[in-house]
Amino acid sequence: MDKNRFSALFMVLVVILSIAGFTYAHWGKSVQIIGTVEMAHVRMTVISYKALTSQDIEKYSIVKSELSGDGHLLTLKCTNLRPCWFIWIGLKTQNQGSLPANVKPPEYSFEGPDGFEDYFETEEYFYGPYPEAEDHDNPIHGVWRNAKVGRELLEDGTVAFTNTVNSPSFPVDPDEKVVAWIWIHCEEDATGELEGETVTLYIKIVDDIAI
Amino acid sequence: MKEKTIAFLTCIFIAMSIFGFTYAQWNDVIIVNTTMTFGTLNLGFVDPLTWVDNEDAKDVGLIDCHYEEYVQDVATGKWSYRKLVTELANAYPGYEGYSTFTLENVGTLPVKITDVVVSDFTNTLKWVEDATNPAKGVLVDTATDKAILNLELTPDPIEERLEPQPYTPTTLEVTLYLRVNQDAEHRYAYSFQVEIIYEEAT
Repeated sequence: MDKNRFSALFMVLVVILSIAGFTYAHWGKSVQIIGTVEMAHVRMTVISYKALTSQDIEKYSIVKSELSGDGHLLTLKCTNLRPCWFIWIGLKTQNQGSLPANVKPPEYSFEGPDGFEDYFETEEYFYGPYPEAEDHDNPIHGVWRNAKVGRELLEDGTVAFTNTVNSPSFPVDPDEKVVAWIWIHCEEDATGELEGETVTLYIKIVDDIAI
Repeated sequence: MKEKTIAFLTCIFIAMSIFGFTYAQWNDVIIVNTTMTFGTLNLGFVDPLTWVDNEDAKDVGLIDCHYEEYVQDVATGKWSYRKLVTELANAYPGYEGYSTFTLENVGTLPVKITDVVVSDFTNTLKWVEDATNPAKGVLVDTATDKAILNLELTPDPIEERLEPQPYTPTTLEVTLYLRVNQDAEHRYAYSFQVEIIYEEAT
């Protein structure tokens, strides 16, 4: 009798606890949403540049240039400036970001004698956007490969390229390229104080999300 | 007699093993839920699952959603998912994603959603919930307090009751809204977790 009771008790215990364990195993008290947000980036970068002037100016003025590691800032150290001094700066830029970028006019800053920046004037010409692959038929070559002062880049600050000029701001898709030609000119009425001075010019690329 | 004794001891051994194991598992349930009910309490994600973003012409940002952890309710035989994964890629300030998912009571007991807890296990972001709606708020940068990501579940699922079949309603359609704010860092990967907590409805 006692044996039967024990057996029955254990059997009941085993059954109840099994059901309880079974139930627990399927007891969920929450469900989850896992979210990730990977952010894009904007990065118009100067991948190549040129600093060109006339042969006459090259005889008396030396220009040293340096591009920052991130390709956003071009520094030009120009010596022995005179009235009518000029330089053509060519910037080949590429959207190396993951978002369409808006190309905007670059920002200029100067380092030199007080007030000298009043004697400088600039003109800008933008071309593109052009495809990344620089195949033979890519029109980017028309505004970059053989551009010369006195032929396509004129001393009066105008250009003679056959490509269509684009006006900033305009959108550039990822990997596309844009060429900018910037004319920096020292005005004719620059005072004698400026003559022979060394001036440092900073040209900074400006971009923005184009969405 | 000897065989009976061995059988008896074996029974005790098995029973005690099951008891010890089950007790260890039960302990949390007793503390957390304070009730013990037989049946299956089971809420899960089911189809349909849809997603869309706020881009029209340009397809720049990307949103993708899927379910994970497919499990079957032993009592009803119904299948559902435990997790919803929502991924926004190439996101930028102003980018919005909408993920519309379906919750279903696939168990045998009525379910009531009691809370929504939003967190970031990397501790980069902290949740600042709306004063009147815990299912709405902003994930802000822990270091700078700048708003990074707006998040909202609509309709607010808290207090929603889902019945087991054959009663209704058994399902609830909810939309997870996400919006990337201006202060989100370029090239950064943020993460978050939304826990939808439920219990047996009384």
